[in-house]
Amino acid sequence: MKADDVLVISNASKVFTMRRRSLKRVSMTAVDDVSLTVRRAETVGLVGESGSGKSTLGRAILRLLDLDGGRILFEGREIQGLNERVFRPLRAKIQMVFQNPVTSFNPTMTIGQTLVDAMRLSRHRTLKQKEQRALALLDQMELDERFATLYPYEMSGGQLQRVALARALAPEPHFIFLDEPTAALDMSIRGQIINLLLDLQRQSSLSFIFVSHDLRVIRYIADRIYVMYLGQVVETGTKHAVFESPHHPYTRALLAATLIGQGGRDEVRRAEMLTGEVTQRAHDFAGCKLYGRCRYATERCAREPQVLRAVAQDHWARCWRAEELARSGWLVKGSAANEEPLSGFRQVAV
Amino acid sequence: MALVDIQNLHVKFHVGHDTVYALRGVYLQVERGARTAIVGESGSGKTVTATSMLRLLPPTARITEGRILFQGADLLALSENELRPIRGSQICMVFQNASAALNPLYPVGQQIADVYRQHNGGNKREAWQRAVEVLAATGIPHPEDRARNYPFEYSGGMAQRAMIAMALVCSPQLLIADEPTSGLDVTIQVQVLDLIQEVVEKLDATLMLITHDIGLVSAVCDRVAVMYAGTVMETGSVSQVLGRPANPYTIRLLECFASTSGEKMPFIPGRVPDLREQWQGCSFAERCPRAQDICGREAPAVREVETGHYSACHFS
Repeated sequence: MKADDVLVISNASKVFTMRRRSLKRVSMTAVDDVSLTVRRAETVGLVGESGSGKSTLGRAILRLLDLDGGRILFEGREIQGLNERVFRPLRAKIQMVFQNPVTSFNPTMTIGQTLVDAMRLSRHRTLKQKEQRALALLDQMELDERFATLYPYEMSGGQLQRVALARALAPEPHFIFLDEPTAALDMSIRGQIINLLLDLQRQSSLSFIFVSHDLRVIRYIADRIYVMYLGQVVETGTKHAVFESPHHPYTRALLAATLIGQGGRDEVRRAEMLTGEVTQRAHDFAGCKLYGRCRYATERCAREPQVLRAVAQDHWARCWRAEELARSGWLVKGSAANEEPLSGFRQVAV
Repeated sequence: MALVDIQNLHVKFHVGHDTVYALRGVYLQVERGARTAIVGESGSGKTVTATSMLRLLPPTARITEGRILFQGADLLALSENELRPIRGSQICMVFQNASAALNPLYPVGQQIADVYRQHNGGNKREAWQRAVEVLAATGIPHPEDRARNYPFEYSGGMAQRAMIAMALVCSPQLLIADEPTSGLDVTIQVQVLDLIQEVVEKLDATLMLITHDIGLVSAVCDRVAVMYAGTVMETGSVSQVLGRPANPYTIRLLECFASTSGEKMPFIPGRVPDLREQWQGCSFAERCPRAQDICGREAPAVREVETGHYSACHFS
């Protein structure tokens, strides 16, 4: 553990057991040997589709569930197994922003009350001070004083999400888990939330985990990226490494999918697509979990479970063919001559 | 003659004591064989426009003005009985949340077979056979078994495939796809879009794709209409609207999509106007960087900025 590591997760795993119609117990590995580090003033982008284990990981960090294995160190302290009384002071330090701003507020409380309530653990503040802080936070979120008297239903999604951010900041956290905070927002206002987060980080060296499947947003905000598939980290590295030189077939497919229709050669991107869907069987498959959907799969992939290994400096991937794929070029960089974005995209970007 | 010609469509909703003016004079033409995208953010009226065409609006809604011509006949003037043969067999809709659009109490194959019999007749065996065929055609593995499954046994992507299969069984002239990929994983989205394109091609049908994702537009469509607060702001070919946007709203929206790096991520300040209110001027005036006095006073007329490219703005 280094001095500037805020959150260190090592070898986390979580298995859920469900009873099926046949009354047979079926177990599903939601998080499979995940190690992840968040440093001070850093944003870690967590990317993956449904079932990849992102939310389970988030809930474990917030101590909303217990892991079956592994450790979670927050500022050097193991938080697994702490009872609620001991953990409570830490709760102020670890905050969360949820995906859907509308359902994450108490509809019977005004915004002002909600913000003051969020400072319940700050015993050293008088009510007056809490109220002042609530207004200051609203101001920081570019919302004026009158919002404090409004109820959630009187506000737009974008405004509410800014309040959600203010609420997370109220107890002066060191770390915020942002669970798809822009997914429910219109494209035209996503930028506002992202910019606020970027500003906050510059000012107060907060650390974030930012969960999203919107790679455009991740590209803006993340410093390092973890790509997850069926509970495993399949690729991780700096933003630059992952975006410019994706090594894992799953990462390549995700990037290609977001770039389709953005101008340029869609055929090349289509060639990276995965086939089929996630199947129940894939969870417990002995070989690579992407086997069956991956177009680069060979017989060896079916046999051998893949391990996360270094493919370059500060860059890891869980695929034995990673270097070979990366060398074969990447659809964005590799064919620069043919990559003419639609002129308007370029024009308006100026 | 355009296959679909929507003229001056006004729709309002009665919600409690409030009236929400959802559509405020929508004009839209869809040519036969075209693939038209309707793009807009939440509350822009894109879904209301589409559901008005099938007259599937909720009971709180009322169409107060306008005409929807389909092959020259006004859909709004038809009786429920006259409309029924058009719904499904000539105009088909694929909904946003496919799992919720299927009946949870019947096997998926049964539902497709029922639709087939409703429009084509035939006996149950034949209809079932046909249902299995279309499920196979939409790429569902083991279609014979899958046809007997209930919707909850389908994943989101498969449910959407089944919805498309249902459209396929009717061979409609117009397929309306309302956010067909939202809620699906990114890698599945591409598969579903490919399937929709394939089906449209096979049926030689016209496609209306409703989406908030501009990325999909250029991948799938050749025409696009941009909506904002209940009106159409700009229409034209994809290369015109995305390549040479004329309307300030489109320009700002594209900025939000296009940028991938920089100090600040672009956004449009302000918020969408309250649809319970009525106003005189341009609906984007409050957020528009180019707005002048006239924009607050007068609703802009639609003008042709180049052949086939229209924009509703005083200054475009």
